Amino acid sequence: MHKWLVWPVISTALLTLLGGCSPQKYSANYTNGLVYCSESDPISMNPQLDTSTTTADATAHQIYDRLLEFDTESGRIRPSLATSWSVSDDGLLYRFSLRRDVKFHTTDYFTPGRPFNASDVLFSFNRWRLPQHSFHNVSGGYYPYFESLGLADNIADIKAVSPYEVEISLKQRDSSFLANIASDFSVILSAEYADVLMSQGIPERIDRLPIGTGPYQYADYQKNHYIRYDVNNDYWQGTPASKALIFDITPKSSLRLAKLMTGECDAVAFPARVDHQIIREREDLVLAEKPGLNIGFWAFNTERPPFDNPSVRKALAYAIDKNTLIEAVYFDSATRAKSLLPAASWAYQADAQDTGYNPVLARQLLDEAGVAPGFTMSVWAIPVERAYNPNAQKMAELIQRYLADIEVEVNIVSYDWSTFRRQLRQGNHDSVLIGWSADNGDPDNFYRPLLSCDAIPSGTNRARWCNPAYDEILDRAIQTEDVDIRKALYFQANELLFDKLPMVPIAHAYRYQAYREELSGMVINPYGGIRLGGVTKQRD
Amino acid sequence: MSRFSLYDDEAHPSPWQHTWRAFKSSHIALVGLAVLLLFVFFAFFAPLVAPYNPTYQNTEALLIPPSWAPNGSIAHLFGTDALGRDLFSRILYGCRVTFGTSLLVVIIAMLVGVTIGTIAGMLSGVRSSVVNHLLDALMAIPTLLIAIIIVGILGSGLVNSMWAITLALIPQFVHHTRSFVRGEMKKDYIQSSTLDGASNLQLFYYSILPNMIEMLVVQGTLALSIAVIDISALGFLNLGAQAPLPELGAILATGLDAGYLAPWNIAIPGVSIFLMVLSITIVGDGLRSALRKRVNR
Amino acid sequence: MIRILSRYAILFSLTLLSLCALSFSLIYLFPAEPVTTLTGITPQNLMQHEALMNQYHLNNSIIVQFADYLSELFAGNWGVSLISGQPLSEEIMLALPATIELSACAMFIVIVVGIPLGCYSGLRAYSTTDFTINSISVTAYSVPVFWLAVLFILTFSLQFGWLPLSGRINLLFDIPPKTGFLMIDILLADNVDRAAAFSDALLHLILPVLSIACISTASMIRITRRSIIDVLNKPFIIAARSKGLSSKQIFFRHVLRNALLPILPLMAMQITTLITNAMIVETLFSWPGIGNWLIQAIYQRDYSALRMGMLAVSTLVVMITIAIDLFNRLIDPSREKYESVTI
Repeated sequence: MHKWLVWPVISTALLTLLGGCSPQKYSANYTNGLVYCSESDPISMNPQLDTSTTTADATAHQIYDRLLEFDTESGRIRPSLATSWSVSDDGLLYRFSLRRDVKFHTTDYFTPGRPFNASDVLFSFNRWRLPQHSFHNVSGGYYPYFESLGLADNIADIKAVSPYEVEISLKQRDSSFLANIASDFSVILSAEYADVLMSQGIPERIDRLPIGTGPYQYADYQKNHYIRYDVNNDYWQGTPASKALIFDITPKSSLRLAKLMTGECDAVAFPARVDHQIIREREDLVLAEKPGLNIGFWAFNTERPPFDNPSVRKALAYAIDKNTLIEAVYFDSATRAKSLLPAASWAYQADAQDTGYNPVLARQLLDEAGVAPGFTMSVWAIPVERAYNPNAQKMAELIQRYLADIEVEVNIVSYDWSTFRRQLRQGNHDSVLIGWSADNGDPDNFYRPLLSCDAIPSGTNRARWCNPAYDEILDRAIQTEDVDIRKALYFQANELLFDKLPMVPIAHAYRYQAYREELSGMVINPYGGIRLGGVTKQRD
Repeated sequence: MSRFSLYDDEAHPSPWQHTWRAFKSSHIALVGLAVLLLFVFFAFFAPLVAPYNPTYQNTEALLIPPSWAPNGSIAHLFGTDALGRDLFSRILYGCRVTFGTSLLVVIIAMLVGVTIGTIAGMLSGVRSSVVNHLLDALMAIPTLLIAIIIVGILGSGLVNSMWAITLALIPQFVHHTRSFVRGEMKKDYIQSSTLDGASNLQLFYYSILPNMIEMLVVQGTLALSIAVIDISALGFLNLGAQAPLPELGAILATGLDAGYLAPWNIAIPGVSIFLMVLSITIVGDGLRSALRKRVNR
Repeated sequence: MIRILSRYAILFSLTLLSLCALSFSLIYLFPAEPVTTLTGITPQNLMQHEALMNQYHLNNSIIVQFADYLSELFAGNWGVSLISGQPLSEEIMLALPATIELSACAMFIVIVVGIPLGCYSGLRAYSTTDFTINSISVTAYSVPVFWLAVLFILTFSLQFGWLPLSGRINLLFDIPPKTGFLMIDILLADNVDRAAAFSDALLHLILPVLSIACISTASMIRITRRSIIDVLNKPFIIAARSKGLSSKQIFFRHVLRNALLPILPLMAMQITTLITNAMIVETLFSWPGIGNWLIQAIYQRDYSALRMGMLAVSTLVVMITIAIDLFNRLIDPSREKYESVTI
């Protein structure tokens, strides 16, 4: 008889229950930890083996330390694992005093028996310096940063004067030497760990299960998924505030932004340009901006005809309108690049020569060089975002259109990031849209790894261009400490580059970091990878 | 005087007219049919109707909102995407690609499926049982998996995804045709034709096929809705139509990147796919109930 | 009974064999070296190539190769992934339970919500309630699953911020994957706040399951409704009513069982669609299941992973389908089970 009461009673009960509790915001702050969303897998856990930002971000400042560091505010070199250093008058002898009581990581695969000392420095440097070193060929024997600089040839000897003093003697003066010691790639590995691995017959583990002195230690890595770090309780700069660090590998930038908005990421790598406005408008997100020391460029493979002909290269440069490319791809967060160096560098040349937009001249030059209409070429576009080029695919499509106007057909080629870089190293491209971010404040860090002859085998010279006159200018420039002389020499190099045009400089971009406003201590590292050791998260 | 009716006429509508009348009585089905015919129109005449070339990138006009938003302009009815391509034209061409390929896929699958099913149905014995069971097992493999395998073998592209979906749809047609033919073969009118001396082919063409058409139409609409969803899903996953070919799923996928800033790039292609499938489903439902009404009268 | 069981066992083995044969043929169909597709190792030089060919008997006749392939499969030696170099058995055994968890939750909702609603709708056929439910289910059935998932993400994650949109659980919870089923792994893990982990995993589960379940539930409602209507028109229902049975008795004793029976074979097809939708939705929610894994594999042209993944998924689906078929056969006394169901 009272069946009709059932439904009203149930519904009122449900409504009161639902009305009472409103849905909570999803909050990921269950444990004390930091989640950083990165854009790709690192190639290895040792930044010595790679120049990619991804590897450097994941490891350089998280797992390892260097002898010297760059101060994030002033850009100057300051002590890290080396407490002080001195240079001889002739610039050939460097002596470093090492810090004491620095402990290496204790993990479930290694327990250190002794603190950091000079033998670790020797091991870390000799590994890439000496081809006959037992660890040189482990994990490939390929140290692109050092090889492109030719550092191994310039170092005469490294010796440990005492357990806490190291001397490095060079063959020739190199005013950029200290800057290279402070770069991301000059990390200090554990010689004790290396010995243990070698005696067990598994030396390659040093790059997969790493041991360093940094604020976080390696815990777990699932490819294309995440990297998990534990905190290093014995860190010499003091235990970091966040007890766990996760690198959540998320290749799509729109997904990274979405996770930042829901709080599933505390900070993201490479926020896409289209999203900057959204991040700025939201109160719970912060977009930090800084002029970057980088360059995005279009490099031609000068080993392949017809790109070995400078007027062909010039013609293609005149065919594109750089301003449109910059506006469409970078929106308003980049400046047009006339030469390799951005305005932030002390060797910047404001009046450098630049190519304009002149399709008629372009077609004329191509005809003169014997390139017929209907010529097909490939433009390789990087598949990931980078500060120097946030959307190479889009830029490639725009270039495709411009070149179609002068009757050149373009195929756009792309692979996943690691395959892409592998193929690029083999020189399978006609041209590539890629770039370079500085590893230190020295102009040599732009000119040498990008276009010197030594940089071809190491792979950073994407144009595969070798010009002895250019190399000579660079070598002269690092012989002196005099800033004006060096500047004049780099201006000369700019002229040579404009004449031969192995690559078309496109833009110098701002560097951005996007993170949630609960984080403090996030600084944009002017040179190199992200530092998460000093970041704390406010929890309410 | 015998009353002969001068003006009254006896109308004996054919079965198709019966079906059409029953179909017409449902207003929703008619609306669905209208929408479907609109899509068919787009499929054939998109190049005539579209205001812009769907691959033309206008770098001055990036991410313009649709015309009904405050910042929109009538020059771009649905706005533009992140490369400056007019969304309305892309949707029209996308409908053409999605709907057109789905239609093609269903027709091919129907032809092949019906042939195999009829042969399987007319033969009896162990052979058809084995075919039956094997096909049931094949029907169980998810469409996406077949598509992935074919893309792995042949590479990605619209044509290859079409092969995948055709392969996935064929078992369904085979199954239904086979059971239908098996059922019909037992009926008296078939047996009488056989006694008259008809061969299998004649049996099929003159007796079974006319009765099968209704079932085929119903199965066809079902398969069409599945094909549209599958083709757009493959386009969305970038396994089907490749850029810059406009296909509704692919357009939605590229729209995701600027999704938060420009939600119309996600909403409008999705609504198009939704309306397409909805109209096909409604028409299919209407046809089915119309047929049921006709049979049950 | 034994006859039926043995018949299905033979059917299962035959189907499995043909699936293995298909997966074996992929070694030669994929545009890579057969050695590479089989093992996942790219031979660096001719010597390594020859060694691998001999190790896997690729120089012998097809029959020997196939037999060897089968024995390797049963031994658990499935090869390694071309891209990551990890053993495929590990990767698949981690990814498959994730998809099973997702699909099982969705199927649960489909059965628990879809069948009752379908019955309710069918019993009140052609009334306003029925019309409403039917319209909603037709609409839900026509929505593309990837669009629905995107809409859910835009609304519930980004707009309101109620639910997370990626992964199975927040990565800060360190749950070692012992079985692959997250709920069980949380129970097995130590040093973890279990309640927090459970609620976090549940929150992560809601949106993907909802996206899949909406569409399959709509389909189930339509099927159930049609089946109920068909049964209600049968003569024995009229007979029952004239005997004096109440509506409730008629429903539970006669209608329900006879309506549910024809649904079962269609459920098998529903499961296939559900798993396809799950695989698509996994990519949108970064759910580490077999769908996401396979799609990443096809993007990177990881042929050995594709070969093995295809075998794993189709085996799973075939197992489920045959199990449903067997169940149907066991409980259905009549032999005509395919002919009489329409939507």
